[in-house]
Amino acid sequence: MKLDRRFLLRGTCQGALAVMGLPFLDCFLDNKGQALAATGKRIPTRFNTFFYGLGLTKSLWVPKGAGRNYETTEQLKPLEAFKQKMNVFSGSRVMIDDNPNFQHWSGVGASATGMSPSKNGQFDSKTIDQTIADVISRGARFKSIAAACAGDPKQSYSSLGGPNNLPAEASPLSLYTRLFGSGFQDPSRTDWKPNPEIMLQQSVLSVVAEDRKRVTQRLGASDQARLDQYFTSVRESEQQIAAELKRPDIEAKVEIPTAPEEMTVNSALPNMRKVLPLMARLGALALATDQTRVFNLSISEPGSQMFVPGDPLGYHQSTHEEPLDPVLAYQPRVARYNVYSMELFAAFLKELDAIPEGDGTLLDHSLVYGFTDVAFAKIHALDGIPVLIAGSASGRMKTGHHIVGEGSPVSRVGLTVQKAMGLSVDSWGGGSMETKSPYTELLA
Amino acid sequence: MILQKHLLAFSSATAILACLSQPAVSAPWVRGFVVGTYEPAFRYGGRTGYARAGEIEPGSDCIHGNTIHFSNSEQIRRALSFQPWRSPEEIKIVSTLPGLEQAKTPDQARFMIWDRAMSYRGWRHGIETYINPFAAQDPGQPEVVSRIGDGFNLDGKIGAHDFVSPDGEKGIDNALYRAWGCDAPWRGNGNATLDMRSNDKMQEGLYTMVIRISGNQDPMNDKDATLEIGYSPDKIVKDARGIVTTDFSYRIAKTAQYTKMKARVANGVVETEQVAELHAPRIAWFYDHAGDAEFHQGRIRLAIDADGNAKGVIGGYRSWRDIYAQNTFAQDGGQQGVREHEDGVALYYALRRNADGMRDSKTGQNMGISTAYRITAAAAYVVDASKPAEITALAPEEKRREAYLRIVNNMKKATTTRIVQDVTPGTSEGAYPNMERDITGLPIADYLLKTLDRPHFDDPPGPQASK
Repeated sequence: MKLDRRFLLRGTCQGALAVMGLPFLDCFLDNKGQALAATGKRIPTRFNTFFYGLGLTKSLWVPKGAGRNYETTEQLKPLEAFKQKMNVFSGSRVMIDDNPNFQHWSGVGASATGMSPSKNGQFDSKTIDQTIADVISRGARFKSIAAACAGDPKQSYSSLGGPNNLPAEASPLSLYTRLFGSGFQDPSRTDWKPNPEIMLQQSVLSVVAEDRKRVTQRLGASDQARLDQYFTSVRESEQQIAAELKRPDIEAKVEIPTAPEEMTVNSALPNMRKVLPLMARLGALALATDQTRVFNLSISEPGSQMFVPGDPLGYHQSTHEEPLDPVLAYQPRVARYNVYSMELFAAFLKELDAIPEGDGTLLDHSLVYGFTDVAFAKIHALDGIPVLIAGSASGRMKTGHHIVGEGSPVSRVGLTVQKAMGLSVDSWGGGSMETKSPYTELLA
Repeated sequence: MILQKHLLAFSSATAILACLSQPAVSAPWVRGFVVGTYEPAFRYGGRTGYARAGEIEPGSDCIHGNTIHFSNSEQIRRALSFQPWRSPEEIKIVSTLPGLEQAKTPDQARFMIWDRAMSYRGWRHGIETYINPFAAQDPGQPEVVSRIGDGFNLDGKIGAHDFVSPDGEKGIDNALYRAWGCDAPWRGNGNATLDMRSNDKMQEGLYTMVIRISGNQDPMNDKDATLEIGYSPDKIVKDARGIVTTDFSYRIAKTAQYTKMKARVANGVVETEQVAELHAPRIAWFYDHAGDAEFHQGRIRLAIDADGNAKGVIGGYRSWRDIYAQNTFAQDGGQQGVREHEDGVALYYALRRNADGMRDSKTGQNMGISTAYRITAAAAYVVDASKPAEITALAPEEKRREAYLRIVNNMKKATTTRIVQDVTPGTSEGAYPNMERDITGLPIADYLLKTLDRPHFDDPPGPQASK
């Protein structure tokens, strides 16, 4: 009897056929816990983040109902096509404890690390993508890749903690060059062979590795710790090199395009509408060809400077300068910008979903963590900070739900994500946001 | 942690509260509250539910609606035209910003240019406006024209400019409402930007204000009650809906913000005595400008409802310079001005014009202005701390607070001596090179760098903090 994810328990009940599905079992995976055995090829589960600034308009974004049959709201309409492939989280809270509320930063830090940041512009620990990358990225050429659609390499929310933010590729061309430029070998080509330059690097590191043991034995404890930290990064380089010497066993049939043209990359919405699909496609191709398993895409800084040409205020200034319409009880101009952010998120998902892979798409074998900096931007409110999750992590995450946080720490979403990604983790976050309570109803 | 529902409350208070539903008896009683909203008692006079795109709702309070300072090129042109040293060319370029669309982030560039330009409106180049508001011309502030207002009759007189309370009491002193009631970020019908913002930050944990009332007669009618007000080191607890939860325990800190007053309770309405100095936390939305609000001739009125929650007013004369500083230097005057459509200079003159108390016997000037602040409070257990409780200091923010205090001191010195004071480093007012960074790529960037003033420091020059 072959057990796979489509297996159904069958029987008869009062003469009628009764069938029952099985939960997602480890035996559906191969012995590395990565591949769907039924497909015969290794399909790793990938992780993505999507960052957009300035939150939401609560009355237009938050669905009325909870659970599976929630009604799509006006601001979620751009994501309607992915409704059954995503989860909407509303009503989460960021507890800042005894840290200041760094405007537009506390929410970013809390969503990305599960703890409120103690320094403006820095994460207090490794961000969620890096925590996940530590586990899933072994065997990929790049541990993670970040890209910024508004053209600023600082618009990366991927960090090793403290001042160690990982810069983003700031144009489609630079992203292309990084991924598919020098050093890239198309795994779909029949004449694939290891890059001689990489082989040389490997041998050099092997020689160093021998000497490393001898040196380490002669050092004191603090120096040993320092050296260990250093060699951790060396080991990561070694793993990356090892990955590059092995042909990725990919399932998707994709074609790597030629390099994109230089183009204007900034916060103007028309430009972002051209840039984002390109960057998203490149990211998706990188995931599909196993160049990386973690792709981070941002469309703005916290406090988004996105603007529509001709609008004298733009997004961020509108959140502060536009009055609340006394009848509508929201800011109409800001509400339009909220929708633009959702449209761009949908464009990202579209690219992930456009790549067929095994019995689904790249999106089905991914998890996308969409987060922002605030809830109600006009006052930098952190209560009700939204999160969007797309993809089912190869069946580990149930989708199609609206989860009402009811004031729960936003870290619960992050913990749920990590569990769905297969991390062996029981708690996540820090301070009042440390949690051991994932949304278990979403975990398959 | 002290905030554990019921468990750590006074056992005696529990017993006392259990007695409250009983017929009136003479027995010791205590009621506690945690303040959930705290905002200036400005009465909105517009029609509720009225909106027409692009219009500012006028009302019986503000017949032309709220302020629109710096809201567009024409408003900027008007503000710049008060400085005779600016050339027509400069006024035109700075107000219209030709080529703005070529900036990487046009809205941010516009914002920073106008912020910088509005920060230098003195009678000559180089005078920072918000530290030296006296050195700029009064641009005019629309003032409240309504006769109805909330607050107290603080001076015991019925003056020509006093308000009448909604229930008919004459002589209400709330000159702050007269001066500031039409100011855009503070005017609204429950949706004034800075009301929402400061309440959100208070509830988020920036500070906690608690009130405890006690007596020995009937909690609904007690001629000899006591009201205590002060900070709590415990953060406000909210429920799943984001509403301040009732019946949690909070310690009261007997720090500089603590005041104990005699009170009378009649039919559930608590009226305190008028005290020479009433100290309470002040409205804030950043750590550095949070602190002590000193009310002179201060009073409190609280009406307690059937659920044990309360609504009321805190009033008294406050230093109008303190009020100006706490509003203007929360960020910086130009930033808040352009963003919120208020003009700190106009507010300065409006405060000075409407000042009606705390007369300085030497100069004859009124140093204070009558105020009233509206509060709502949730029932809570307000307990003494087992050991002296201090307000938690946020070490990373202490430098900002020190910088804030320096700039406030400079402003006070400037406005009392009329000697121009310098920009103090470390504050947003001295932020540099913010504008310089954001105008990169603008065709008028060089012109602006040559023309617009910028902060200058003797030592050390260079980048300063900004919010």
